[in-house]
This record gives sequence, structure tokens and C-alpha cells, in this order.
Amino acid sequence: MSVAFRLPDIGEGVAEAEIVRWLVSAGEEVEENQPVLEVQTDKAVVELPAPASGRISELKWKEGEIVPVGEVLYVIGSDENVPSLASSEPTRENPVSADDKLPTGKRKQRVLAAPSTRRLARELGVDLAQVEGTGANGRVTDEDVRRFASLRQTPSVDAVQTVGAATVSAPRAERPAEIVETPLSPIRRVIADRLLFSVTRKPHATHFDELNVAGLVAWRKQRLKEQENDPHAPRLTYMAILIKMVAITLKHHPSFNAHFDEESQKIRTYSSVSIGMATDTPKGLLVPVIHHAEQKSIDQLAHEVNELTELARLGKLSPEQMKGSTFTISNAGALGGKWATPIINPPEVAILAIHPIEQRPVVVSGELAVGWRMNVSLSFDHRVLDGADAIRFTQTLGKYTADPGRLVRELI
Amino acid sequence: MLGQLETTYVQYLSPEGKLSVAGHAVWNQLSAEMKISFYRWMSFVRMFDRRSVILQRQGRIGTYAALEGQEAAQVGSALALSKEDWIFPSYREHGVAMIAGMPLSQIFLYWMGRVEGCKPPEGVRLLPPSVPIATQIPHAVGAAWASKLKKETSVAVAYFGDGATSEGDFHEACNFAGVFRVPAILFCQNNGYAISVPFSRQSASPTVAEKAKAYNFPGIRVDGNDVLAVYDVMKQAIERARAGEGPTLIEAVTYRKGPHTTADDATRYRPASEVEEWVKHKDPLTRYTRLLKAEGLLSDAEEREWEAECKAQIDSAIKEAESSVPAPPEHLFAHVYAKLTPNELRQQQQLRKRGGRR
Repeated sequence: MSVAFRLPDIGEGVAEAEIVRWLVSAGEEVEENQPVLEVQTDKAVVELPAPASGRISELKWKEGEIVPVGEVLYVIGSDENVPSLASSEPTRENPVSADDKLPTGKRKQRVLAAPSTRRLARELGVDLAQVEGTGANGRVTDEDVRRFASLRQTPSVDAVQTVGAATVSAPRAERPAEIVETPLSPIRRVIADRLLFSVTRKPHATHFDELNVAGLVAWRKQRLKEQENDPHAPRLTYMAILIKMVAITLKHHPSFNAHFDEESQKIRTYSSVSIGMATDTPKGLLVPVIHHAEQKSIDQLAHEVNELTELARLGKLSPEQMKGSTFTISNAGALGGKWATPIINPPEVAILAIHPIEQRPVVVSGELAVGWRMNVSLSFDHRVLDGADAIRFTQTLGKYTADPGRLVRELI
Repeated sequence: MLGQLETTYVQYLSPEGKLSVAGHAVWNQLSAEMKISFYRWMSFVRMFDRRSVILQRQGRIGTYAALEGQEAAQVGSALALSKEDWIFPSYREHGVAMIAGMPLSQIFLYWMGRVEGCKPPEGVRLLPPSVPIATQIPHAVGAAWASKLKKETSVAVAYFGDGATSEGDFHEACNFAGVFRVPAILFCQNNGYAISVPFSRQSASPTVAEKAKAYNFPGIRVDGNDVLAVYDVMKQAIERARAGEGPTLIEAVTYRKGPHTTADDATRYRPASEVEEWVKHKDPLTRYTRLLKAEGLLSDAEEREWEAECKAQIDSAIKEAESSVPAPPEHLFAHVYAKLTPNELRQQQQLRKRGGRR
């Protein structure tokens, strides 16, 4: 007769335990209730005593390995009929052998993390051992896991496997073949959470306006011409110039440069402008932040915009580079479209979508003419701001886009 | 400070196994049978307790709250009670439960998550363990009030820990007990920690016992690891209660040697030196065994014999508990709501459809 000892749930809801130490070796005789090994769970290091007397025929795991609850830890009794299990636990087939599990055979240091964090890591397909913990004693926090997930350049192996399993190896007849279920990617999940929070908590209203950008277009054309032969000049994008114009506009309409604190129901207005740039990346929407935009030159802004956009595309933004924005600009211009109803980036109170700059027929002094125009869509938190505020805001911005020379007045 | 406080509690038997003057007087009044009974119960409870921890580590019971170190507080107080008295325990009072007459196999069943573990045999006035902290104290006071209104002689005792004294229920129960002078005994086993929170972070009062003053009934502090002192203090409190003199708060100062439960790691919050002091020098069973041996009432052979007897009883209780018919999954729905919520009705139907399998 042989008895296979499975890892019990020794801590009221633990999912796994690490083998700390074997107190016996294979081939050794043990008495019933004699401690056989030490394991560590999220909660404690404990000794696990033998359920019966006999010779230990096999230790299934190495020290340092993480074992899921329910897996066979060791077998007492003859080697021949190993699968005859005394335990009443549901039988699981093919317990993963030690070698399959950890090819390196190296002792793995157990990562400090709360059970909820471990669960989050499992859900996001993150290997905790690879995450650098920022908590006390190097404890991995939820934040660390999320950051790791969002910075991963390639989709996680797990995610790919999950999709693969659903599409390729789905022999279940009842599932129609054309439906593919894909779990939200880690980054998508974060985006989803934030957007859901924003639309469910913030009463959104959106104001549309068409801005005259003739001056802006001409001004940029002139600068580009000037720096044609300067290899060191930054690539002067509309985005950089518009950030400057928005920053100045915000100085005139400070109530837009604010956060609304849901808990205290207070509006926090900021004297400095930190612009979030909603950026389309292969992994989803990211929002790198340019701090103190009102204090930076357009060249400086252009440099930063280019750098942050590049980092965002590569998935290399640090969390600091995505924190602390007070107002967000969503540049929809590159892709086309006319209008949008952008969703506010909480806890901010407004977001500006900018659309393609294009030539349109306009009426000037009763005559049809060709003019440069750009649509903007400004969503705002209607608890904090009103439609009239939004109209005044885009009108101010429109004065700068029509005539960038007005910026000279703002020189300090 | 700690030394000062310790001198203020009732102690008859020193950690070295020596009786004080007052202790001699109590000792001389005890029957030989009673003297050996203290030992047998404490030893039995300890063996049961150690075995239960092993069963949990083997996955045979779900979880367990170990009491090792608190045997004297439980055995001493429970042996002072009569059959007619009502007991309202917390989750660590297995020793009290056994003495009250709860079969061992049912105590095991309780920790296997079985409702059968909550229902004592006819005539055993023991309530199911209260896992929420302090909720049982008002229950006990209510039962004591009922006894008073019905002019019965029974008393009601609530067992709770030091952590329970930070709960509102404790105050309400004390207040009511004091105003109505009910025959209740509020028995606090102060083991120093509410899970990981030390008593100094639970209460600004240095002791639990002194809180009784505010409710105008006696509060007595006793060495909870001295079975004779606990027994005597409890006996006096019961006599007062039966005589219509109202409630008593007893603080038995003790220590749990192990973690809070099998899911806890006490080394993370208790200094090793403190644990060693209690385990090596203040153990309740060691000191009492020393006394019995010095008095010639217990030999090494008798000790081994008794331990073998305990093991046999525990083995048979485990067998009985493990061979009981498994609980039907339907039990999930049986004991919480009188009328199931729509959500649970749906779950119940789903379970039935799956043929009651997990």
C-alpha cells in the first residue's frame, strides 16, 4: 500500500506553498505524525507531519520550488503502485514533476507579496520573480505588478497561450468556431478601469469648435524653413506648438487646469501646467506627461514631445513619466476624423481632442475663400465647469492659433 | 512595570511548583480525586491540542485555534462549573468544551467545518463557539438575566480573550450585567495578544480586571497558568453569583505558546525571548506536575500510562469523526437563512442540476 501526501490548504485559503526544507530523504522510514518537510505559505512557515508510517519512496519537489495546493508532495510506501492515493482529494492527473517545473533547478527566492498581489500577478500573467518590489523589505505591491505589466514590450507568453488555447486546441463542439475569447491585456485592463471610473463618476459634456489655424500653419512653415539646414533642430510638430498655446490658455482659464477630488469633493487648481499627451501606441493608449509646460520654450517642448512619444511607442515610459498631469490633450489629428467625445483622464476636469489641420472653404467678408482650420472637441466635468467656460476656453485658444504673434505678449 | 503587575494577581502555585501560604489552605481542602483531575484534564487537553495541529497540517481538518499554554485557565475555570451552568465560549475553548461534556469527535467535526460540531448532547449547556469577537458576552449576560428572572440557580459564563475587551459588546455586556446584577461570570483569558496586536495597543488600562470598577462589580486578576488559583477564584465568583451578589470579571493572565491559529505565524510579532520565558518557565502543566510529584500523587509510570490512555481516546475520536457520513453539499444552504435569497435559490438549483457534486 502506498500513500501519496498532497499539499493541504494549511492557511485558510492559500493557493500555493514553497518547499523550504525536506526533513527526511527518499528511502527513509518515517513514523506517523513525524515532520517530513517545512513549507512556507503567504502566512507562515510550517512543518507538515506524515499521515502514516512507512518508507518515503519519492520526494516530488525540490527545496525552493513553489507547489500548488493539492499536488502530491511525497509518497510513502512501495514505488510500484504510486498512483493509488489514500487522500480523499480529487485526483489530478500528471502532477508536474520537479524537472518540468524549474529547468534551472536553482533555488528560487520566494518573493514577498500579499495574496491579493499574487492573484493580480496571475491575472496579468506576470511572473512575480521578475518584478522589482518597492514595498517594505522589497515587497512587491499591486502598483509594481501593474507597472511591470504595462512596461512589458511583447505580449506576455501567458496571454498568447491563452488565446492560442482558445482558438487552436478547442475541441469542445458546443463552442462556435468563429468566436475568439481574448482576455483584456494588462494595459487594456488598466485603461478600462480608468475610463469606466471616469464615465461613471464624471458627468461629461463636450464642446465642439472650429479654430482658425492660419497663423499657426504659416508660423510653423516659416520656422521649418529657417531650420532646414540645422541638423540639431528638433522636429517642430504642431503638437509642441499647441501644447504651448494650451498652456498659455490654461493660465487664462485656470479652472481647467485642475483636479477634482472625489472623496473630499474639492477642486484643486494648479498654478503650473502639466500636459498629458494621449498617445496611440501598439499596446494601447498611453499618456506621457510634460511638466511645467508654461515655463518651457517651444523647442524644449518639441524635444520632449518627440522623446516621450518615442518612449511610449517602445513601451519604455517610466511610471514617473506618466504621472501628475493636470490637463490632457488627445491628438486625433494624425489619423483623421472630424469630432470626438474624449473621456476625461481622472482626476482631471477636462480633456481637449485636436483634429486634423486642413484647408476648408470659409467665408471672409462675404466672399468664399480657402482657410486653414482645425476642429477641437473639449470634454469637461460638468460638475466643475459649464458650457460657457468651455466656449471661452476654445475661443482663447483660437486667438493664439490664428495669430501666434499674440504669444509675444505672454513673454515674462 | 510588568514585575509590579504580576505581584498583583492571585497566585497559589509558583512556576517552580511551590505552594504559597494561601495556596496551602486551598490545596488542603481539595479531594485527592480533584487534585489528580486537574492534571489529567490539562494533560489530555494538551495532547488533544497538539494532535489537532498535526491533523490540520495533514489536511484532515480545515483550520484550528491552538490553546497550548492556556490549559490551566480553561481546566481550572471549567472544573469549577456545574452541569446546570451555561457556557458561552469563543473559538479557543476546546478544553472547556470537553469538560462540559462535548464529545471529542464532535470538536473535531467542528474544525472539519461540520455543523454537527456545534450541537452538544442533551443536557450539555454549551453554546457553539463564537468566532466574531465578543458577541458571546452579551449572550451570556442575557442568559444570566433569564436565570435570575426565572429564579434559577444557574450561572452563565462568557469566555473571551483580551482582544474582546476592545469591542463595544464587552462594554454593553458589562454595563448591563452591573446594572441588573445578573449571575454572570466574564472570564477573560488575557494571553497578551489579539492575534498580533499586543495588549498595550488594545487598552490604555494596564489590566483587564480593573475595568470592572467602572461597572461596579468585582474584577479579579489571577495567574492564568496556575490551575489552583484559577479554580479557586472561579469558585468564589460562582458562589457570589448563585447567592445573588451579581457578576464578576475574571482576568486570567496567560499566554498561548503557538500562533493565533494554524494560519498565523506568531514569530513575526512576538519576541523569541518572551515566548521562551512563558514556554520554559511559566508552563501551567509543568508546574502542576511538579507539585503532584513532590506531593507523591503522581509517578512517571502513571504519567506515561495516562498519556497512552489519552492517545487512545483521541485516536478513536478521530476515527469516529473521519468515518462520519460526509456532509451533503446542500448543507451550504441549510443553516444561515430561514428563507433563501433569490441568489442562493439559484445556486441551490445549479447544485442540484450538477447532481450535488463539487
